[in-house]
Order: sequence, then C-alpha cells, then structure tokens
Amino acid sequence: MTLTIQHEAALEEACLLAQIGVGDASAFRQLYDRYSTPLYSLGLRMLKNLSETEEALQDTFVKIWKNAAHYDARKSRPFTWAVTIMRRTCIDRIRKLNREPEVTTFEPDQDQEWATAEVVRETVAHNETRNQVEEALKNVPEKQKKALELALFSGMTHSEIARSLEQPLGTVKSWLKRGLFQLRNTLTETAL
Amino acid sequence: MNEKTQELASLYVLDKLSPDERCSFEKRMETDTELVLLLRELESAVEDQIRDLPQHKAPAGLFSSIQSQVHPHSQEVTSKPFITISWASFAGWGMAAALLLGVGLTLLVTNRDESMTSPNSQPVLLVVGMNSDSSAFKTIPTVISEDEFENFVQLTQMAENFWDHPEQLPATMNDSPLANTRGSGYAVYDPQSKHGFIAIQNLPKQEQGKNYFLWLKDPKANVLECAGIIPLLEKNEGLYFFELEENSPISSARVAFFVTEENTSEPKLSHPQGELVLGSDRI
Repeated sequence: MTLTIQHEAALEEACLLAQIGVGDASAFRQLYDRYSTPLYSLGLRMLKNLSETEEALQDTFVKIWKNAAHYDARKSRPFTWAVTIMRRTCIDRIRKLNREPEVTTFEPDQDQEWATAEVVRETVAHNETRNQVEEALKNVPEKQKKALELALFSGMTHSEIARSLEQPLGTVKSWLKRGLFQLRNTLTETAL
Repeated sequence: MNEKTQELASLYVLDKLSPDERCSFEKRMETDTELVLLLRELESAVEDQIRDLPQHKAPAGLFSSIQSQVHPHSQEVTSKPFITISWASFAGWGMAAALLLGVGLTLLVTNRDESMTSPNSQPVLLVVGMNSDSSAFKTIPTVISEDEFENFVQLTQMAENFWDHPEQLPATMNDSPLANTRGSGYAVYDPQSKHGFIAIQNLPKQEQGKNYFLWLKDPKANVLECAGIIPLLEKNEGLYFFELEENSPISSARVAFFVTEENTSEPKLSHPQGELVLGSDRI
C-alpha cells in the first residue's frame, strides 16, 4: 500500500465525515461500510464478547454521527479518530462491567468464543498490510511490543501498564515511544 | 525534535495523555508542521496494527439498528450533483498532505508566475473574486499530474493560501462604494476535476428560514446549476468544498459563480429566485 493511496483514502474519509456532519445519511452508510469491520474486530479483541462488542460498535457509530461535524483533520486522521471513539467506548464498557483490563497477547483467534464471528475473506490488500505489519513487528523488541499491545488493546492506562509489567512509568513511556517509532520506521520504509 | 516531544507524540497517538496534556499538545500542533507530519505517520502505524487483527464482519442488521437511532435527523441524499461542505472539517489537511507528497506552495507560486507570461496555455485553474456588485476572473495555467490526489492538494493549497493571504488573490476586484456592502468572497475551481472551493466573508446574518445558495453558470453552454445551500450554521464566513458530478452540464473552463439568498430550505433549485448577494452571472 503506497503512501498516496493511504492519503487518498484518508481524504475521502475526511470528506465523508464532513458530509455526515451536515446530515448526509448516504455518506454515513459509506463510512460504516469502510470502518465497521476493523472497528468490530478491534472491539472483539478488547471486549472478547460478541454482544458487548455489537453494542459498543453501535454506540460508536451513533457517536460518529453526532460528532462528525466536529471532526478536525489537524488533530487526527479519520480512521484514527473513529478508532479512538471505539476504544474509549470499549474501555467504558470494561470499567462498567468492573472487569480488570486483561493482559492479552496476539494469540490466534481459534478456541475463543468470539472467534465464531464471521471472518471476513481477507483481501490481497489486507494480506499485504498484514505481512508488512508482521514483518515490522519482528523488528520491535519483545518488551516494547508487549507495552504497545497493552496500550492498544487492553484498555489500560499507561500507569496500569507500568504496574502490570512491573516497570517504572518512565520506562513504559519510553518503551511505547520506541516501539511505535520502530513500527513506523519499518512501515514507512516498506511503503516507500 | 527532542525525545520528550517524540514521547508525547506517541502517547497522544495511543490516546494515553490526560485531557490537559492533550489540550496543551494540540495547541502545539497548530504551529508545528513537522510534529503534525510525525503524528500522521505514527497514526498510520497504529492503524496498520488494527487492520492487522483478524478481521470479523459486524453482524448483519446492525447498521439498520444504528440507523434507527440516528434516523430522525438524517436525510438520504440520492441525487447530489454537488457537495458543499465546510472546509473546517479538514482544514490543514491539504498542507500536511502536500508536504508528504512533495508538492506545495512552490508549485503554486510557479503557476502564478506562468500566468503572467502564458495566459492562454492549458490546463487552467479558475480563480474568481466576488463582492457585492461584481466578479473578477483570472485563469491560472497549471501542471496537471496523473495523480488526482496531487491535483486536489494543489487546489486545496491555493484555496487555503488565499484564505490566509487575501492580498494574493489574483482576481482584482473593483472598489466601488457598493463593493463590499454585503460581504466578499472568492472561488477556486479546477475544470478538469470539477472540484472547487468557495470562500465567503462578512455575509449578512441569515434571516430565519432563509439560506445562501451557491450557483454556477457556464456562459458558453448557457446552463445554470445550483450547488446547494452553503452550510453557514451560525457563522457569516467560511471556506467550503464542492464537487460537480462528471455528467454535470457545466463543462467550460470559465464559469461564473454567484451567491443568492433564497427563502427556502430545499437543497436544490432550478433557478435563482432570491436576491443576489455576491458575485455575478456574467464573465
């Protein structure tokens, strides 16, 4: 996936958000078609429960509809903005259920109850991205990878991550930074 | 960029900053382009991680359920010859993208210089200045890239640049006593892609039930098209993007732009009936 294609998609999505912001339902449908699968997959990873994830996705899209007019591209890319809404919604649900955020790892989905959700036929583009990410992750040291996984998918704050990994907060912040930069460097090189 | 800033950027992208830290960091982003570019790259890396998860399709019927919650306020737009949206939603995006792509103001400046020496060359971008009693036109020869996105970035930069530096608007307006009594504005339009921007400033506040409509007229084909309502909300200024469909009857490179105030909320009109507020239907 080239940088240009990524930017074109982001720009189209920014346009869709702007249209949604003025009440365009067809733009909302288009954005749902683009985002529902990755957001639902993210929700399943975080909540590990089909009905909770379904409700979280529903809440997320209602929030997208209500807040699209306030989307500001200077602050984030459109998909990142939507991911932030989904993650916060999932974190709220984890806390309401009084569940401790779990220390998860990137294990295969088999044997998980929520893995019965329909798996999308993976496209060539998705496989390509996936291979690139897997290759990039190989370059990230294990501790940094772990911190990054927790930051993205556990719903923990960075203080909670530090406690979970039994490391000082400063060390965890540094791991997050290094891990993310390593990932970004490798992915940028691959894209170019 | 120092380590601390890089660390803050990582935490921002991972949504791990406190609301105060986030607010302060966003203020800094407003003036630091290098930081914004770094953030876009970090966000892209995080997005790839999320798309790397095993992908599960959301249950069928979920969208209908969402739709039923938002439906009272939604409107299905089946025929939309134009879109007219507030540029504020993605302002600054053009600049960040342009820097990433290596196109930018240099190209714009080069084009403007060319316009002084080769006014009849093609293709062109059209710049239209508008005030309360007239319009002024200027075509600017441009370089069209095979990459539509680069062309779009160039257009957005031009629109944003004139917004920030109105003194650089090449379409010089008259300065009659009536000129700016009901506001002013400009349009930037790419006849090849049929994308454009309309900028307006200091329009009189809309009366209840009235709306400002953007119109385009192709004098060559003698056709008129309504671009729809300019979604001003509570403001009297703004920069708005619009896009014509490929089969739009507006086909010339030189198009007249004008704004009328209409006593309706219908999204599309066949002919202007209200009062002309900005610009002119003549070139």
